[in-house]
Amino acid sequence: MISDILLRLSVKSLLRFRCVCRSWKSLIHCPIFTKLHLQRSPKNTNFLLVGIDTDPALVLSYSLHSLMKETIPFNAQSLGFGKDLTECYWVNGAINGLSCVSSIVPYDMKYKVFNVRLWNPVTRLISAASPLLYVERECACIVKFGLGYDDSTNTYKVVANIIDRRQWKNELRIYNRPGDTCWRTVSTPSDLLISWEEGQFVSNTFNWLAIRPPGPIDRQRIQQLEYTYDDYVIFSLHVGQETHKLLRIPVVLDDYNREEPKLVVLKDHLCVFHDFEGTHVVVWQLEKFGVEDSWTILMKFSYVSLQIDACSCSFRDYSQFNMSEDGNYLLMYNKRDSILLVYDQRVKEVSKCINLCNNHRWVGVNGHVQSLVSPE
Amino acid sequence: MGSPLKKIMLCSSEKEIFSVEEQVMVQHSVIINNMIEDGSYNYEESKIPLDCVDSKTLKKVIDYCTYHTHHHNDNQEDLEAWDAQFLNVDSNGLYDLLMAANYLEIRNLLDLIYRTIKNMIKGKKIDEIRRILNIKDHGFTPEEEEQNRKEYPHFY
Repeated sequence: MISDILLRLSVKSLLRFRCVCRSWKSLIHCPIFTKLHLQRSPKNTNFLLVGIDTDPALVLSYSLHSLMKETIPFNAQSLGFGKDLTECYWVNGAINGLSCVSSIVPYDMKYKVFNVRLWNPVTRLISAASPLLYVERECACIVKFGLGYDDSTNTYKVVANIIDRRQWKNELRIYNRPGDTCWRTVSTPSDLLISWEEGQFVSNTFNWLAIRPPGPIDRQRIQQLEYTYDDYVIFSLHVGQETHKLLRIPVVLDDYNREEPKLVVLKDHLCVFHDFEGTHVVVWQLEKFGVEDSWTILMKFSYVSLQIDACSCSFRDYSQFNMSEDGNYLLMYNKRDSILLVYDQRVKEVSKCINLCNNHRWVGVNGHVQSLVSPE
Repeated sequence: MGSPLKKIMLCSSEKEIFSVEEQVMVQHSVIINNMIEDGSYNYEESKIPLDCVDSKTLKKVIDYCTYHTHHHNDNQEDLEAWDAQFLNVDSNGLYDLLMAANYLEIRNLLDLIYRTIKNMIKGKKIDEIRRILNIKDHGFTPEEEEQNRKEYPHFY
């Protein structure tokens, strides 16, 4: 019976209530309790704001409700990283209330060396470091990590997308926690180039936008953004089987296409943001994962309605899209101006504009669930 | 589902008999519903013995079930106001109700009590929670307790 009461309490309360008595403490630490508590935790209502360039890095947790009320969101207590973590990078995505951070390990001239750790920002527990990931320096590589989870085996999956900018090819490396003692290479088709945006995790798959032109991949054309919508596909990697599939992006009858589409997950659905005639953004949602006929238009908004900059007609500067559970609000982050926008779908305008500047470089906004889940 | 006019007998720990519309109890209590459905209740002779529920508590439980049977179409606010008034009891009374609701498996009453207790302890200091819930033996060794108090003084 006591568990029925405790399950209704927030993580913050529970961390305190471990001191009430020994039996509560054992209950709160029990994995089954953690799982039941996670299932009850509200989704898409809490957001982490992550700021770097500070020591320690700043991580703030906000509910949508408090974001809408506050004028300057800095008076909240910073969740903070551990002091020992220097040169940390934030990995997008959060699963079961866990986030992922990557760091660069000083090593040698030939390799760039990374490791990753899982981190629960509410209990502030952080896992031991993963095995090291070595990337040759001379490839001028970009490395982007993504966090995923395989329900059936209770395994966290970290995927590294390594883009070799010399030869314009990708390598995907995956690390299972628990299970792996090294980063394994996942085979990818050679006739496509996976984008260097972060992989989007949904329905047991990592998804990236990829270019698959009829001929060989042309470096010049990539740089000039000359590829058209017809050349884009979604590369979808199943985390359990480690097999991939290609999905069509929604068909757009506008040939303006100046802007690269963006792949985003909103409320557990894969979405594509498309520019429409240079005036609007159209958000398509894949209603049923894997079914290409189920692309439907979720919403459409004009650049003008974002109000940030009258002459900016682009969503290139926007990232970190999150949608509230009721579907009314779309959060997006303008990285050029460090502004967090809360767009109200019902009245089709920005209802809150939060300037995050304040001398930090903000790497983003993540929807997260508050949980007791241990990162180990 | 029983006919609305049929009555069933409930017997408290003091052997006091309460006659209640069958429908009222069947709708709310999982175990009474099971008893009626499997035919183990005899309308002529049976009294359902509730040895761990005293008369005062049983009366309250019946009040709750009766009100929620006849007012389930009321608006949510009115129902919540009634519930709040209903649970305006001391902690012993609340504990008895919790035990009775648990024994009879009255899910919505259990849920209401859980929520109420949650609100009673939410945001409270450890010492207050121990007092509210009458926790005398916390089970920590004196060293552990001292360590906790030293490490998290603001919790207490």
